[in-house]
Amino acid sequence: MTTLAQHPMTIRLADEFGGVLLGRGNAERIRSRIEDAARGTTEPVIVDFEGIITVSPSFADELFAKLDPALRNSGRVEVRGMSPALESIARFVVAGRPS
Amino acid sequence: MSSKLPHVHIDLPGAFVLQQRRLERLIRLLRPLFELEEPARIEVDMSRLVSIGPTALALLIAALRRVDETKLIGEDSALIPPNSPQVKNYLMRMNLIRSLIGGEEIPEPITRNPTHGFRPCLMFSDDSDYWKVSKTLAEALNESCKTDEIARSAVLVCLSEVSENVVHHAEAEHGFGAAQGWNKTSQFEIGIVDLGRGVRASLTANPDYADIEDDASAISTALDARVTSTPDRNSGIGLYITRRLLAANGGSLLVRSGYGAVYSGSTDEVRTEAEFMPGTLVALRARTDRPLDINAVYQQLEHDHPSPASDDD
Repeated sequence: MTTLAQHPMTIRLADEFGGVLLGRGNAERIRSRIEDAARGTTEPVIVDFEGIITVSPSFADELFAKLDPALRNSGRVEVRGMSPALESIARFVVAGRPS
Repeated sequence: MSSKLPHVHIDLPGAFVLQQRRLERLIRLLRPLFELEEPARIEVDMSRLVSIGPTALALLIAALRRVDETKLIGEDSALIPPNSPQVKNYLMRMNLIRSLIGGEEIPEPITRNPTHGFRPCLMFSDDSDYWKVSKTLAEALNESCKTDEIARSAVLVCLSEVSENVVHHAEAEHGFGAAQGWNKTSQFEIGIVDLGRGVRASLTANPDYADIEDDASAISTALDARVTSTPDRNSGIGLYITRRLLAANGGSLLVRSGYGAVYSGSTDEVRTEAEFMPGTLVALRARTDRPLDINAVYQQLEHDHPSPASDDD
């Protein structure tokens, strides 16, 4: 039986950072990692929020609103597993920083 | 032999708890420390201290730590301990003394029991440690209060947002955080204090808010959404979210800075006080017998602040 390998560019946030994501500095490091990965490949980088209970507003702002708009709009960064609440705070912070 | 230094005597009788007027009394009594510019023989008399809440304690430690760091504590200065053994033990365990001697291990007339449900007042200084302090204090509340995972997450988020504000906006050497939970009354309190430049000085650094003329207006403005002194770096929603979260819970938020005080709870109150509070004091009080759900606040955001894009949908 053939099994598919996990996507090599998947960042599972809960596995690495726990269920609550805090801190602008932490988000900045994660965002840099996502941007570097997305720029270095033609495949989408998947950011997986499965298992994340919540995020702090500053974390959301630093990760979502400051993500390079070119990468965000190109589809090379794909966000998965976000709850409706996280989707809401993500949209809210992005709307607060019109590009 | 008597010291030739000026003598500053501070008497701290009674209870210093979150109820605002009692915090005001503490701010008034600590004024000689805030205004001190030259070394003095400082005597802080806590012998008649009956009780002190975490926010008041963070303020007291911040004030003492500052005069210590700036070498204003002269020879023969003294802290007179509380007569009450319980209060004395509490202050020792909350690191009142250790905070003044750089955290050194010193002989103490107390037993430091396992830390379950309890953490001392903690100091933070930069991006690398404010969120660790937040996690530590949140852990203590988790141990001492009956809360669910959602509430615990919300506490952690609020603590990190308020303490991050100190690091990013206060221009203070340190922030101080303390927390305490009370199972009997199903409440907890978190206090975050800094002796930095205060809300108005920070906010008016942003030209959009340069015309704010008083501290109370500055605090009120800072509690609105998307208000920040540094819009390139910060989003200005941390305090706003915290206020909404606590309002939904039946808790309260007090922000005290300069002459301004904004109390947000069952009723909102904006006051100009008689005493000057250097820096900023933020006190959060929440109920543990009601939902404390930050995700519910997030879901309400777009309803309350519709973006032009969602209007077009």
